[in-house]
Amino acid sequence: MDELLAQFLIEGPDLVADAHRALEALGRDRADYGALDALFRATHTLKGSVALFDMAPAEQLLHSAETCLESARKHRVALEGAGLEALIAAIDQVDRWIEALGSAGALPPDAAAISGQLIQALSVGEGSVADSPSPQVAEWLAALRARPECLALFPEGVGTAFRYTPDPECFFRGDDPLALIAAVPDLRWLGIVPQGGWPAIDAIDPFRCIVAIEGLSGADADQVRPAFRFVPDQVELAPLDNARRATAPVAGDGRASSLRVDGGKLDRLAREAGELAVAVHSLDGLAGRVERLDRALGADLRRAESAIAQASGAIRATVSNIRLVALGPVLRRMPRLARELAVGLGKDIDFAMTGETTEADKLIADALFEPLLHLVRNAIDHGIEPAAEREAAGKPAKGRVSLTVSVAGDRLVVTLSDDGRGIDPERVRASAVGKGLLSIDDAVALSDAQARRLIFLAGFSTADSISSVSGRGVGMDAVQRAIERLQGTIEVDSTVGSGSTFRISLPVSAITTRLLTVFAGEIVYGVRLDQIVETLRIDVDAVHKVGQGEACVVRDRTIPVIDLGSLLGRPGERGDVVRLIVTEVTGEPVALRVDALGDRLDALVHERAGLLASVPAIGGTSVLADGGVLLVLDLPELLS
Amino acid sequence: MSIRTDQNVIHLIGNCTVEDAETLLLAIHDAPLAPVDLSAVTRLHLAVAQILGATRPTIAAMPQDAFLRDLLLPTLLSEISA
Repeated sequence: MDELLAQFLIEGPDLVADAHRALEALGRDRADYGALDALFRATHTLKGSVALFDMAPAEQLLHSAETCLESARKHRVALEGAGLEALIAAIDQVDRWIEALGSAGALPPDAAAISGQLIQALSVGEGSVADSPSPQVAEWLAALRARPECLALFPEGVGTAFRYTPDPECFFRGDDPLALIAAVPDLRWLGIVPQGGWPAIDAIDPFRCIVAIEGLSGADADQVRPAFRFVPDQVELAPLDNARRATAPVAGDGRASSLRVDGGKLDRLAREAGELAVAVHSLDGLAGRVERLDRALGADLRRAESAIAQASGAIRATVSNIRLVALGPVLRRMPRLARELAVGLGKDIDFAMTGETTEADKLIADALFEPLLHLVRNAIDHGIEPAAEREAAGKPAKGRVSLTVSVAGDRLVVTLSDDGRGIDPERVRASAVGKGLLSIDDAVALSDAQARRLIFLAGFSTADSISSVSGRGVGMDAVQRAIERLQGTIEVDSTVGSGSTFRISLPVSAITTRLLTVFAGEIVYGVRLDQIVETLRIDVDAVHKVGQGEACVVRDRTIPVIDLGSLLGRPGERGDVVRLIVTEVTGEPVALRVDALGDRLDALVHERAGLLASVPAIGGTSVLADGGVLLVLDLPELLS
Repeated sequence: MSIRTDQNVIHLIGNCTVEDAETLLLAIHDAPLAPVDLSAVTRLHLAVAQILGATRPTIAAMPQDAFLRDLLLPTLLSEISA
């Protein structure tokens, strides 16, 4: 791929994410001028970037968005709802086009038409830009917050802005306003604002105060206020909280000192660090042997070993820390997809996301998106009721879906809540029985909490009709499987009529999986140890033909024997000895015949992706220390 | 007296109080192009500062005082006062 394009495909989505963050801030406070500036910058940079590629409709659209923002910025007026929605739609669309450029190499043919519609929506939004600033933020404060000095002097965003408008007659009373100002603690910037402009020299009355004094202090409002204790009625004070919000996107400058590293290299580093730990461990036995021969030498060796072990532990900790990435980039598409899903289903929702700066291991972050999207889809489709039904139940017409990410100890906790109809345990029981998933007696015996968990059974769907959105061939069982593959758990809590909460708990740092390598048809595969019940070595005569297949008897029990090589399309050789790995498929043991057993190892297993994604038997891949790739089999899927 | 015109340079000296505002205004009125030397100023009353802001004379030398030199005068003499 063209290097420039590759770079854009990384940075474009980052800029979209910046824009979304600013839009979200503006959604909360339309008069957040810091966010408005951040949005303008992101839009402007995006426009410059798309101009480098064959994306004319995107460039035109961003140009319109920029014009709309420029006008709001220049006049310091708040954006109206319509303008904000048009901007969200425009940024969402550009996001889709960047995706299309990455996957298809070009914009879809309808791009120009869509761009035209959105540009029109933007110009309507622009027309409805509010005439007056939001009453909560005084004009002087908004202007002050927007000054470049404000951002430059207050990178940490903490401080106090003040405006002191001395009484015009104050000089006659002996007041010296500048003496008060000079006493303001940690004063960093001052502005002298003539009321009604500076007069011509002939019109100056030297005995009247004609200016207001504005300033920025690094101190708290409580520390600044005493300076004005004699003129409290002439002073306005405000905390500079806005600057903090405004500087957040600017903090991206820190990126300059960071380095993008190919994820594969990091995985190798992690694996090598793991192997170092194993190698260091082998010194332990050696030290024991040396100690028996020479006590002093043995003690020296132990000291050296413990120092190496400590350093190796530190490397592993650092590597696992490097692998931590913010979930933001992974989750950034979620609000857009949620909006699209809601529109597709004819529902009106508010989607809120918090904690996307939370960090987790890259593997977890990458694998989290799919199951989470399914849960969001499920909440909007099955949880949130149609507006009429909601209003009849006394709820706001607009449904609410919120996604919260946080860290509790060494677990990443992801919570998805909706204020929809909730999961009715009675309906779940009836539905599960109706689908033949369990008997009536068993269903009745379940507690309500247990009954709700039935939704995770394969082949379950609570809605009587499967909609095109939720029913894409993956059910809640797939969500649960995906979470379990990440060594996580999922819980559901729900109150009929008021909504449901799904709580996913995952490890924060790198998860290594215990693997056994096996040889089949001259290829090495990894098999998860937790999927292996036992390994057996039996005589070739102990395997009998049973009908079409083969079986053997283990502890008086007949177990079907399947040749792993044949199953994977590469039959192996037949020797005198048969090596079997025994696994369980829906509770029944099944033996897989392999050519040989290899090592046990701890490895990072990646979710299957790319070409491998269509091979269900492959649970994932792992990178070996020598750079080779190990295919990790998913035995239950392989045998199902 | 804290304000003195000497060889067509207006000098502000020491603590310039509210009474000095009218003197400064007259001095600038009489010699609109005269540079103003602030090097000996220790304090400026707002009334005096206003005159500098409104007339914007050429400044021949800045004061030593950090508050005046770094905070007040740059903003007072810049073009961007809104």
